[in-house]
Amino acid sequence: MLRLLGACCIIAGCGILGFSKGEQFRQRAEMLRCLQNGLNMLEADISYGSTPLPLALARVAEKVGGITQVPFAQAARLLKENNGLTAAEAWEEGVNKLDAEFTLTTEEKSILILFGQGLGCSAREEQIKNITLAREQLRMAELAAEEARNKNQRMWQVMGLCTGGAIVLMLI
Amino acid sequence: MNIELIFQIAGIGIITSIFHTVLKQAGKEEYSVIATLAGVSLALIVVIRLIAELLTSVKDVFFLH
Repeated sequence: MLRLLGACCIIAGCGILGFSKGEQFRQRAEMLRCLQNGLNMLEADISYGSTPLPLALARVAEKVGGITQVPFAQAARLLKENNGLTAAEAWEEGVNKLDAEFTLTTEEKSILILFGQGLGCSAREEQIKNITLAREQLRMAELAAEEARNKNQRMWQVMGLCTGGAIVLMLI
Repeated sequence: MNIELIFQIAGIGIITSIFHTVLKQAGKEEYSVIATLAGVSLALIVVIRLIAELLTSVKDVFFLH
């Protein structure tokens, strides 16, 4: 009886590890999609509303929610505190915070940081061009993440369960 | 002969084949080969004890020691 319980625990543990690893692929694709949505909202705020940047960023952070709100919320907070940071620096801080909470790839990070460098320091048209460019790059990154997810999610799930099974078989 | 051992080896075989298929589908052929080799060596580790037992009994039968 105790053996059976131990076997179940090992299989469940390995299964959970595999499933959580598979889940990361889904979360990455979803985060990239939400970031694009956030940029869409920011674009609308900049082009139609002429909202000041801190307010626009805070509004976007409120709407996107989840982990994607981190760079928007952090940049908005830093800009509102008004401690001499430029919009680019504040955005980079936000991206770094997102990176600390949810590991970004170098490509994703460079897209976001590059986007931040054009933020708040040019005319409206230039900013909209900058947002479009970043969105396009994020879309490509999302496609790549989706492809990686299709390839790897199922594999990690099955591998987790099977590794648990193999360990149990060797221990019995 | 212990019947559990046969089931254990069969289980290792089944799990190895699942690993092989899943890794191959995910496009990681090199890892699928490694997984298969690991499965074979695990099965060999189990079997080698039995072979050792067999050899000992052969020695005993023919008074070779």
